[in-house]
Amino acid sequence: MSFDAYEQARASAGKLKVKARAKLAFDEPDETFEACVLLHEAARIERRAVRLIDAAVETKLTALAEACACLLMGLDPPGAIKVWGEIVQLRSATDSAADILGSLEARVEKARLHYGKKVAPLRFFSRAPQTAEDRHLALSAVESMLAEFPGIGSFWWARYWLLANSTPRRKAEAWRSIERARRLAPDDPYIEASAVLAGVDLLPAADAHALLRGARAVLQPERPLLCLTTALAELRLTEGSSKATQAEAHRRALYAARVGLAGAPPSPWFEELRATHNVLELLLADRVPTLDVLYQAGLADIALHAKPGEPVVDLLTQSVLEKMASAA
Amino acid sequence: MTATPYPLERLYSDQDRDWVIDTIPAVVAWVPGTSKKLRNQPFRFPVVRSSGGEVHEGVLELSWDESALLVHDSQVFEKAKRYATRRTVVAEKLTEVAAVGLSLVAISAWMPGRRVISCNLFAAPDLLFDVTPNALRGVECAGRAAGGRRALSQLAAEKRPTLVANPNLAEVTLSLWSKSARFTLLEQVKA
Repeated sequence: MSFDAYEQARASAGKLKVKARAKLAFDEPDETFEACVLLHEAARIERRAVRLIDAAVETKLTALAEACACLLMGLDPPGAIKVWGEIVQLRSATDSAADILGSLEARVEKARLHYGKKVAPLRFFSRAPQTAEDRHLALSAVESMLAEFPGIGSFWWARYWLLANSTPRRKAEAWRSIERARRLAPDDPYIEASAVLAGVDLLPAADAHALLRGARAVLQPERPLLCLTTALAELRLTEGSSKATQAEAHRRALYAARVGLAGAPPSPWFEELRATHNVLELLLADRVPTLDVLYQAGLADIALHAKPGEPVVDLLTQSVLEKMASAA
Repeated sequence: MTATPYPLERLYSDQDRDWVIDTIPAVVAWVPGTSKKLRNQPFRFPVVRSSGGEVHEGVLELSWDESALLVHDSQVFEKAKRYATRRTVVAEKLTEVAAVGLSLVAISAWMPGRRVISCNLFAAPDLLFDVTPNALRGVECAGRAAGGRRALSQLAAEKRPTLVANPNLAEVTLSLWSKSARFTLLEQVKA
């Protein structure tokens, strides 16, 4: 518990807010996006700051209100509404709630209704679009949302996925989109993990290697999805390389899969991690993985749609990407 | 009436650079008027300051030395130009940022030694000297594109009761700015 640390955190959040307000006043899309990034960071800092002191309910409520306002101004109504949910849970604990929250409830409600109206047409895409026509329609809908709500990380992620799977693929734009999603939500495990796999497909090899080095440095059993995508990315990145290079990558990938499997079950990615682990053991033993790997890991659904001779690694990777897309 | 000259570049020494660098372009874009006469420096803001029952009337004479501002921010005038070409619908956002910058000027000119350490987007006050929970000290600021003294007095009347009643505030001063006609109201509503 340190007041100095609290003061410093609030100072740093305050500076981000002033910078963001100045950027929003430019009324230019790139500056607006940068403002959204700053406001999301300010919201995270406000929430962390209050944990640094022995804060009363009123102070906690004030910090949540400030975080909520940052996300409203940061054009992220779903994020603001999530924080509002926490405010509602806390407000009955103090008589000063009405004074502290003032007009915030009305602002949140207005944002909620407006966002709900705008997002309604997208409910049509209840799962990852499968056909080119559906992807084109979805992309147009997602871009229209982003024009109004550039602070919503999951829409940038959706834009990445749709562009990466479009024909022709718009790699640079796809990478820019996932980068934006990461900048808005650096703590989001889906975005973090999918960026590793996306990098292999979308970036020049040297940049993809650098991205993988960064991912390897933060592998933990508590991050099973990151372990999984890192392992798959290692496999994909060295396709066509020399046998020695591939073997080295396979060993790194096996390590990543093992770290992921060491996490506390149940992980929604356990079967995929197990299959990846088994694929790697076979590859390191110089054997070709077959569909049996998928059956053994409990992934019969993936095997069901496999074409004759389709590499198991490709099947697994595609399945992971689609599962993440559906979750997003 | 006492004139208080304030060269805008002095803000860089009176307040933390991080607060200043993002607000000066907005001040530079917002303050000058469209006519040649209004664009002449110094920009004169009649000021009414009140605190503890005492009222002082004066004039803020705001000016800036272009080369001195460029030393601190080489893009300051380019940013000001971009603000000037923005859509009318976002003019309010520029006014808000300019009001923050001008409030930094007011703090530096009339509250010597006071330095802003944080800011709020939602809770009062906007600019904080002290973030101690339940004993916040700072300045609540706002700007109006038009309306002069009358508009600012009305704004102060709207804001005053909430600020006085707010149990989290130990000290708060209202800092209100009008562009046309130029006017400034500084009122310590809680001490």
